[in-house]
Amino acid sequence: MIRYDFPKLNVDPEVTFKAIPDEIFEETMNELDKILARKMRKNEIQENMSMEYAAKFVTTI
Amino acid sequence: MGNSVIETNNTIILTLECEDDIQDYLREIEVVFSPKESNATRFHSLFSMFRYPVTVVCEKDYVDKTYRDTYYTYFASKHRRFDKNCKRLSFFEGIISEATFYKYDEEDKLQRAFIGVCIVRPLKIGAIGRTLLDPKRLAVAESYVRTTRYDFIILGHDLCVNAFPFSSQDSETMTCAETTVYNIIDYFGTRYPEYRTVLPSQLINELEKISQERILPSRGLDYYKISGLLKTFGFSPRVYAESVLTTDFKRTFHYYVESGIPLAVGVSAKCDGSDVKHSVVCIGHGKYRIELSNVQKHKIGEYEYIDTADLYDEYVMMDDNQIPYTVEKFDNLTIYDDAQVVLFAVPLYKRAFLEARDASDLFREIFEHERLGFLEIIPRVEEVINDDNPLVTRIFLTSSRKYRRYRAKHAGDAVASQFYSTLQLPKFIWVGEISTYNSYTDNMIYGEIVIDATASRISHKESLIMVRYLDYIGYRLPDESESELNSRLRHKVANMVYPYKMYHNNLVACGGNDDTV
Repeated sequence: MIRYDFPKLNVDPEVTFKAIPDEIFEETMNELDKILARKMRKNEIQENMSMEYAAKFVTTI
Repeated sequence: MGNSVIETNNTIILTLECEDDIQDYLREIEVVFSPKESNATRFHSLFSMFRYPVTVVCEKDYVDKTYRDTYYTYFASKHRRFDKNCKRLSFFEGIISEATFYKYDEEDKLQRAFIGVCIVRPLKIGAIGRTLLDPKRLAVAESYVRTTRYDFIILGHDLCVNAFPFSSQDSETMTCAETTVYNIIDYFGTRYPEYRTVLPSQLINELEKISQERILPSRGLDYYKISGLLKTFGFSPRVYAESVLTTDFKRTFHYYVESGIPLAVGVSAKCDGSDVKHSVVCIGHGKYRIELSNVQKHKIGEYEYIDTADLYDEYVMMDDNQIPYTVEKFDNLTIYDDAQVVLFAVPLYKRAFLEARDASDLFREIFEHERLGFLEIIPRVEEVINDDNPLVTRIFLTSSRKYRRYRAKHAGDAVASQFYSTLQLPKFIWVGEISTYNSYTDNMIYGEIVIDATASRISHKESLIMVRYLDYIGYRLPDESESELNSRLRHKVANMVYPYKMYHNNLVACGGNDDTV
């Protein structure tokens, strides 16, 4: 049997893109999560209100 | 009038040499005109979409399943006589000789010339029935539209056309609202095995269940019922109202159009001084772009970027009071005065949970992030970023099947092709592509952020699947944490080519250009 695995990307071992250091990554992502939670909650409330308008919009032509 | 090629008991084949032949032709096939001649005007406009000469095959007694269904449901009950048969007009580019129609080994020639079909209903109002015309073969404004393949047998020939369904409203069984729903369902039912096409009587039966009043003759529908009908036939619709979303409304509209999802659009307008409410289907956007100086700019560090949703303000409409594939401004989408988009319904697939605004918010938070964002990479973009060439972002929803196929084929190098072809993805994904204005014009991108569309609102950051900036790729598999994505993103991938091809699949070009987006 010949096994083929998920292709490994041939990467430069030296870190070249700073991204987020491991030690503060989780904290950063949690902050991001809070921002997204707030924005998405606002989106949800607004979009739920859209159905009220949908019920009032009756086509006439 | 052009040369008559052949006439049998049921079939007339005629070639129209120029637009001047239209009136004579309509008389020839005895189209029933209303006293207001609105049918005549509409047919004239429809025929004006062709590039002449055009050869037309008219089957005089044709059984159209849609009209026959409404005939038995409604018209047969009336005192006045209605014909139960329609006429079917099939259109071919150029002068097609009689012999060609009877050479069954030269079907390719007919297929290459085939424009599509139009059903002529025996009605005084709404004579244009189910119409399927290939927009690439019509004289329409340059635009990008969603179509699907329809098959026909015409004079014994198997022919097909890529089109979006259109029909005018008969105003009794089908008004603009039912026509909107019917054509959206017809498109999805034809294109995807997950859905099925329906007949008008099935729509009426479902409406009977959710309505407290009689359905026929139709008096229009509210968007609550329109959304309900879409849900009944297997969609997971969402409705967005302008008065609630305000600034995000047009952008949200565009994200779904860019995703190739036909939208049911509610328009409020004025007609002869009265307020009217109309429903149409939006199936694409125009090619014309707004001047860069008039497009809203966003900031990433000291650089500016624009959203392609703000770059376009013309959309392709299927309006049952007009002709197919009309391109209209967003702030005046119909033929009526002061036509404003009030709301729209998106017939989403049942597993596409994450909505456009949430995906857009997540994309922006990542893209603009001081550490995880694109800012640090910008100096490596080998273009001058300035007012004339800002960064550009483009957000759309697509299936991972189509995405994987496109990226694997067009990644530009073997490393990326292999990566994209095997990357584990959910059934639907939101993609935010990153480019510059010049590269966007050349259909090239410098990166992308891929978001799980099967994630819910509460998933937040967990819906992030992949980030690619030039030759840096960070991804995570379904059971991995986001930190895996972060650690992979730090290392440059060897031999990965950039910029690479912008995703092309959701919409096809018509009206003179050859791109697909």
